[in-house]
Amino acid sequence: MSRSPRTGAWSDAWGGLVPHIGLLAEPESEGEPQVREGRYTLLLEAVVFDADAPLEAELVLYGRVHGIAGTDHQRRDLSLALMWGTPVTLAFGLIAAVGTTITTLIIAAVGVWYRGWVDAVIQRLTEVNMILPMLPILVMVGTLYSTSIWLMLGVVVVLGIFSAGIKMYRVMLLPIREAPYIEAAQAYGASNLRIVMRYMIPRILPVLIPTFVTLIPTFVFLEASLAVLGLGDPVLPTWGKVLNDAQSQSALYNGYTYWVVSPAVLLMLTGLGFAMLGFAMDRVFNPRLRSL
Amino acid sequence: MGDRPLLQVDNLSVQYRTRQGLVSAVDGVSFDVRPSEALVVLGESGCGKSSLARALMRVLPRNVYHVGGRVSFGDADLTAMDAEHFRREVQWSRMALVMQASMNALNPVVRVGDQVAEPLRVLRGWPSGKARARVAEVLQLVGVSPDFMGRYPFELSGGMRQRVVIAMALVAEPELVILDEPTSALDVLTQASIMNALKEIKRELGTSFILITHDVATSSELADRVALMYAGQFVEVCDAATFFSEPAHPYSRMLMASVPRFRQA
Repeated sequence: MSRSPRTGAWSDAWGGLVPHIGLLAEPESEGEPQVREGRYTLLLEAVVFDADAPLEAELVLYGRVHGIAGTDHQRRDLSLALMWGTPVTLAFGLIAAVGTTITTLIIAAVGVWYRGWVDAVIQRLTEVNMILPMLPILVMVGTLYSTSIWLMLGVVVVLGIFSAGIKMYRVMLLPIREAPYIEAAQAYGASNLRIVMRYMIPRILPVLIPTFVTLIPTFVFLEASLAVLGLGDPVLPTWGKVLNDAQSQSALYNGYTYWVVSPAVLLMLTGLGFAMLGFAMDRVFNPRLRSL
Repeated sequence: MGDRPLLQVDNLSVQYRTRQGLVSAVDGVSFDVRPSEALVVLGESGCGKSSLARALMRVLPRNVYHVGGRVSFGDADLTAMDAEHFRREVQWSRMALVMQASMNALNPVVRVGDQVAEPLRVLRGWPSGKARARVAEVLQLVGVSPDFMGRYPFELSGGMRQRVVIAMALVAEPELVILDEPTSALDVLTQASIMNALKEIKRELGTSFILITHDVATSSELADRVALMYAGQFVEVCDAATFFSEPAHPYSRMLMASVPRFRQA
């Protein structure tokens, strides 16, 4: 059987292996590809426009897939991408959660305190904003404007300011507004700002902290979904981008399950971790739930 | 005590807007309070006692329609004073209020000491160290150990909480303290001991009190003069001794007759 890598179908010629493995592999070997021993000649054909033009060529042969997380199609160590993706992902989730929670809380408290048209405007804006879909807007921004992760973060926070949380905080703050100690504070001349920031908001913080913690993975997943859709930051490595690479290289079809499983497991662990932390904190901060 | 009055109220009226039209809660009330004197405002529920206190302190609910009349405090004409000026010069520093239901008038998430210090920090911008020293002093004055400064309100008994609220009113050394039913949720013994504390403060610091209550028996402890309020008006203002022994107005007589005695005459 005349074996010609240039004419035969790839799967036929390299026994179903990708070129950079199949090229040097024993064609009849079963299971793990074995290196075919012999002399290999590397022919370089180059067109140069000057007789003295320098030409640099390097042949790098990798012995095996390395690293605990394996390598990707460009022979990059996946564990590096996964490790560097961790701080990026966590920072995105944390900053987005902090940014949206704090602004939402302050705006809700301001609306509750000033009532009237201030409250009405905030409520209507919230209702409009609740209808706007977050992910498509982010996809639009990523496609048309920039895929910088910080810009995405900004858009997430801006869209999150008038989020549904305002409704929840408003309900929690309404009875506090009528509390006698708020009235007493008015009587000794505490300013509006002081009443909102020092008396009203601290009252609902304990209930809020668990909600805030469970909010973090939401934003971690949002960032990952954007990256999977190909809108990840071009400069920073993230778990979503690893998944995106895996998808574009048909990793699952080629049997490279590790490429998909490791970032997915990391994402799930993050979500699970924050959710458990949130539940635990809920029990600490809301003693009424303890008996449940 | 014959000197000029500390607080002079002339024809004060407060009207609220409701769904059924206007309600006159306080309807042309005139009285004065002399330095170091306790005026007791007696009256049944809903007769406008609290509205009177709120109008004096300018903490009225939002549905207020109209406040009329003249109020002068010392040399200052309060009616002519704008809100910011009033806040800086009079509110709490010269005239303080102990709220109704003051058992709940403490922020549950703020320590007692910080809470009592709050008026000083808000009004005078005192640093916390200086304010704490004053708080310890004023807590001792009302009979609460300064050890309680680090506690939260829920760790205190009702009587203690009440004392803390009174301490909060006294912390800026006001000349007049308005007490809006300060003891209505407490047992008789606690009521009596708080009244004794107030009496002592009056004697030592020369503070004037307006004590708003419906409790005839307790109020007689502190009263120098009594004003009886009915349907937004003062129906009788006279000396405590005269009021409790031989009230003039028929309503006063009925009220005095309604106070239970050990042996009904």
